[in-house]
Amino acid sequence: MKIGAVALRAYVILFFVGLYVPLAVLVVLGFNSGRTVYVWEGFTTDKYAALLTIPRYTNAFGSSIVIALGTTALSVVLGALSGIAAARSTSIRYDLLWTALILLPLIVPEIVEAFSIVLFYQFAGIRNGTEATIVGHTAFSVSFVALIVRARMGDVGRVYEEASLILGATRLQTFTRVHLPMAAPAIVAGAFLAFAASFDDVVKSSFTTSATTRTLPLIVFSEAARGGISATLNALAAVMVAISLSAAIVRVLAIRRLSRE
Amino acid sequence: MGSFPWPLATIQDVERRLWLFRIRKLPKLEIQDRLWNVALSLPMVVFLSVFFILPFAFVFLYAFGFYNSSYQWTGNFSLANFDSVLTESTVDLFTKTAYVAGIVTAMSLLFGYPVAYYLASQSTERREFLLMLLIIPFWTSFLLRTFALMTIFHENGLMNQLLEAIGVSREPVFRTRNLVSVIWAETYTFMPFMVLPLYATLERMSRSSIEASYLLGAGRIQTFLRVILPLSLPGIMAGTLLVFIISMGELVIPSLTGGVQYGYLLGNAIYERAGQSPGPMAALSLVFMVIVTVIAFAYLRIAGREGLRL
Repeated sequence: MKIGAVALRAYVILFFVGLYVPLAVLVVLGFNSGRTVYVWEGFTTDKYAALLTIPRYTNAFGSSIVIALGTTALSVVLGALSGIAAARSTSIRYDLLWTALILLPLIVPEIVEAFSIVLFYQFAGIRNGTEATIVGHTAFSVSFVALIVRARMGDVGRVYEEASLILGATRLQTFTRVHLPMAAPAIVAGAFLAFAASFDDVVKSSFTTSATTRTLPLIVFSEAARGGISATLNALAAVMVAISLSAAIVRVLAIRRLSRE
Repeated sequence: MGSFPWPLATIQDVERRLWLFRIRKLPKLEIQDRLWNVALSLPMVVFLSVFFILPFAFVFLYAFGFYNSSYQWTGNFSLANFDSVLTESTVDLFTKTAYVAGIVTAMSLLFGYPVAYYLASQSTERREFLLMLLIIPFWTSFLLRTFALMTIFHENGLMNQLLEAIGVSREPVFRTRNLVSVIWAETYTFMPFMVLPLYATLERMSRSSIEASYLLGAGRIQTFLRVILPLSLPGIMAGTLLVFIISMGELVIPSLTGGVQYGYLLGNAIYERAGQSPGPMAALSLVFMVIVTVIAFAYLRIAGREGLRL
């Protein structure tokens, strides 16, 4: 009996180590001075420094950031408004439609979604590029913001809103002075999610970016798929891990604090 | 008590006012409320309708030949695209993809269940912390996690170096660019989709039914097989379905870890051929969506019935 519990515990520890070790190895190998990533030959920061001198990477980093920020802004505006509304709604039909519309983009295989939007762009005459990618990413990122904001506002309830209306505030005032401040932590958490979803995306980016707006994940994907994991590519991946890992930690901590309140 | 600066309302007076409020103001407020809700959601609904729902109409139009493969409107209904897609090689591709997805699902369940079980049995504090640990890597790029796995399990990678160093094997044990590495990498990446729903049902499970089982003389194994496992069936269903559907559509992990030969699955086919032959690929996408939906529904029905019998 005791043995079972110990074995389970050992397994779970191993499981969690397994979740993090690959990420740690990635970052450490970025400091490897060897020509290949596999054999450790000594410590150097050259590989990370070299990243800054490769225009292919710096340009991609630039467009990744621009696209992710644009996606975040658009998702936050659309998602927060709608999330607040969904939490207030008392109509079952509204809830059902809302949930279906929000969950569908998360369930449909991304490859089909990306393909369909390309066909639509072709019809509408929308050229691939930064804006096209931002719109494409927002189609799935908005769901994250909307879901978190709805959950948060559902917890808050409608008491404050009613108080504000009874005390004579208009609906607009209630919205800007009561709803928005109360939703703010959830909006921030949602914004981080939207940013990460856009920053990490491969499939939709590859269908909607133009030759000059390729994002970082696309470059990592195409270079790694070709089989060459060079030391600089490894360093690039490590930097990206550092960015998305720290964003994830901030986000999770923020959400955790929210649920504690 | 001092005197009120206003005359005390009688009960009748209050009732009258409340009644007037209900009759005159409330309906107006409720209509306002609904309009306000609709107005707030409108931007998002319009956005998703245009950039998510509408594009799917084009998949239909291309699949049924209303547009040809040079993106021109023809206006004619035809099933030629389905003819060109429904070949033996497509069936093979489907089988291979479903095979990989099936094994990935089974392995996620096998390796994920103990973790969910352990999580659910911990104190709230501990549980929250471990959940956080589980979710954090889940939200870092799956592309980079796959990338990291590839370097570690590469022929010359860390794992093989380690095994050689401790004298287990001189030959590399782990290799990438085969079907096994595709399956491992997908299992590793999709594990949280299994653990989270499992954890949700295990956590909600009532302690009393487990205690009752012990009290009635069942052993640990019996209790697990006949009480805990059946009660966690909703979580198992949700998790397996989620992992299966997600791995059916995955293309980045296979092509990174499986290379051209082993990593060419359904998603890769659509990905690579969408540009040159949008018609046939739209047909393939539709078939794919239909099959996934049918599997999901059939599965839920069967699992639901089995669940009742257990």
